[in-house]
Amino acid sequence: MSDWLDAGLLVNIVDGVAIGGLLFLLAVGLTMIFGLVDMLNLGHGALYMAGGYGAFLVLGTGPVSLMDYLLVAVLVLGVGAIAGLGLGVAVRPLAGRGHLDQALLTLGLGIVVAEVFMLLAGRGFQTLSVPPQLGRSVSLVGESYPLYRLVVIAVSAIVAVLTYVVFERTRAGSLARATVDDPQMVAAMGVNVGRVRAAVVMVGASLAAFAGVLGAPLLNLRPGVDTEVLVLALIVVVIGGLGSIKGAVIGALLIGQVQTLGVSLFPGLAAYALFGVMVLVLLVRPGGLFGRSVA
Amino acid sequence: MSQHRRSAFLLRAGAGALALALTACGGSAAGPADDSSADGAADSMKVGLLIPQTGVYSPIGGEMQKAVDLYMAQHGDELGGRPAEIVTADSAGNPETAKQRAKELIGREDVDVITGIVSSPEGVTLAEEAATSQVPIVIANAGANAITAGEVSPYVWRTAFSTNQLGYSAGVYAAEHLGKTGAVLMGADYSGGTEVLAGFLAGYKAAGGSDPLAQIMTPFGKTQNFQPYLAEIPAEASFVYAFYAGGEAITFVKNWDEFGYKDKFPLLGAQNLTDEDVLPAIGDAAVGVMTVGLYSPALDNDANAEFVDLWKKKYDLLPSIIAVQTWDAMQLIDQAAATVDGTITAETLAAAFPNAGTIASPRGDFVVDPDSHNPTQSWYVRELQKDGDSYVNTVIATVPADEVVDQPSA
Repeated sequence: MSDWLDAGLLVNIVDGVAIGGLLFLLAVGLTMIFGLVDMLNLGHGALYMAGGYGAFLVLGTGPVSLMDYLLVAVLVLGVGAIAGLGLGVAVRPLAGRGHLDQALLTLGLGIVVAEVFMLLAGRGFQTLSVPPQLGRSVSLVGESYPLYRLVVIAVSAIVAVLTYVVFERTRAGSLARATVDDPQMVAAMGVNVGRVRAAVVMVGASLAAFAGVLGAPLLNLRPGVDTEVLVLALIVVVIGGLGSIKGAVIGALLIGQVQTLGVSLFPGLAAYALFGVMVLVLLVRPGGLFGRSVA
Repeated sequence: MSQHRRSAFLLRAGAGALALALTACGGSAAGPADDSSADGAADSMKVGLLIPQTGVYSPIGGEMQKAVDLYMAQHGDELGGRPAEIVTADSAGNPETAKQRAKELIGREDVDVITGIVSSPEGVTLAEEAATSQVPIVIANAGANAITAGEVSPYVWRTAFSTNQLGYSAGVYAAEHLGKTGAVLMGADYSGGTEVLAGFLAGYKAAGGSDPLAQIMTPFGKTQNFQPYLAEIPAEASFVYAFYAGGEAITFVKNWDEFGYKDKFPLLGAQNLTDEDVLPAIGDAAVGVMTVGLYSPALDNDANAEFVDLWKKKYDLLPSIIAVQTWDAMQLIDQAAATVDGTITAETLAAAFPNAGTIASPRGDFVVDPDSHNPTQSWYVRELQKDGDSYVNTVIATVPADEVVDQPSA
């Protein structure tokens, strides 16, 4: 009896990693944009929603072929990047006017985008089908587990490694980080600071829209999903520390576990656990787990 | 220092975003209600269709709209021999919004009757509103027992069921066929869910079943991943009875299949779990799931043959239970209106409901009980089977009307 329980618990943990992976894709963009460009993008949830609904409008409710699915995912990555470019341009006039103005503008743009998709797709409950090749379940420690969620884990792990390597180990990454600390010096080295910043916003927006496609079969498509994921992503960023990719990984994994293992072990406390964890982390480390130490 | 301030700001901004979202959801405007119910044209009627067009129950609302559209098209836009008009309003599945919309339908649109009404909390609120404003409602789904408990208002009628009937019938079947011990109950945590499960338990115990092993309630309308809740099912369970509808039914049945629970325990559900309105989105995951409901498109009677044929021609799908409940609500309004001599008003129509007579329903003929205002009906145990490319809720057993209790014992 007890080994069945252990296997069930293990499935819980794996599922937490899948949800965490999805949250990471969303939070990494938010944290990069905030940490490296110093821009607060509250339209991040709407980008997620746009990705999911965009894919739904193209693919529809019926069965989906793997080819179409991959094609749409790549397309959404591209469209997301373009949206990020637009977002960067829209926010530029607000340079030097503080975070509140940025927050209002991006939140407003997000509401408009979300409403447009509601008009196009209807306000009802929708979900995205998974291609049959990914729709089956596989055996995991003797328990059945949906393959698609393992794919989510794999994809987010790849993105995590890629972003880490690019931003921490390459020249482009160190330039991006340098533009925060000393933009004049970077500019003096002959680097176009504006272009570096635009690139960061584009990557972040693109990942958010992509998370929308990846997450739609799990979290479904419905009005309000944009604010729901935005709040989760903000919690992840606050826990992990601003601008830290490592922090986004750990924060997302932690929140993923709270939402699966936490619910399973303490069903009565599930509603409070999310904020409880955040408060706890902030009490111990006000800058987040991997936030840069206060100068 | 700046990191400090930024994180604090980010927190506040997040909270602000949340608050904004909440006001956006809750603040749907509603104008002042005009309570004068003076009727419009002398010999026409107006029906308000109050359904959720947003939220997890929107698939159910959509199905109701389809049933009403088909009924009106089929009857030349006439009810009770008079030209009739349908006015649709979005309840958002929320009792407060539903009440506001009902007031608008009554005050501005001057409707003679309101139908639709999906969730139990909406049903309870609207039953009060109907009694106060003296405009009748015909509930096509909301099952809350309280709506028809005790002395029922002459303005409140129902062509669906009481949740006690819905759960009780399943309980009787489960005790006889799935085991008298080891029951596990799962449901959405709101009045609809808890009442259906209580009804199930009453029927289960009346038929010799013992206390359930566990009752697992999931947050209503917020659960997108049932995996952690499924993990709570004890390994020694002999079967699981579940109540989920609309979007939640889709997610639940998919998760049940994906996480391999199909091979672990038999699943018995309330009718909504595999109703035809959610089947296309669930797909193969639903095959083998048993549900207890008041209808199946596979039933063998003339009214059903005709109805299924009509529905398939128009929508290329099999009709759902929701569709039948709504269709019968229209039949009840139609037949009641036909007995009214002179002008149709909310008042004359309400007085006519007891005279509506037998409803030739696709579920089998039934009469709306003059005391309980609920249908007196048999319940069908259905197993979902795949036939070629289509899915059929095949009837495998019947729980007769006289074995089912309409209201919980006090």
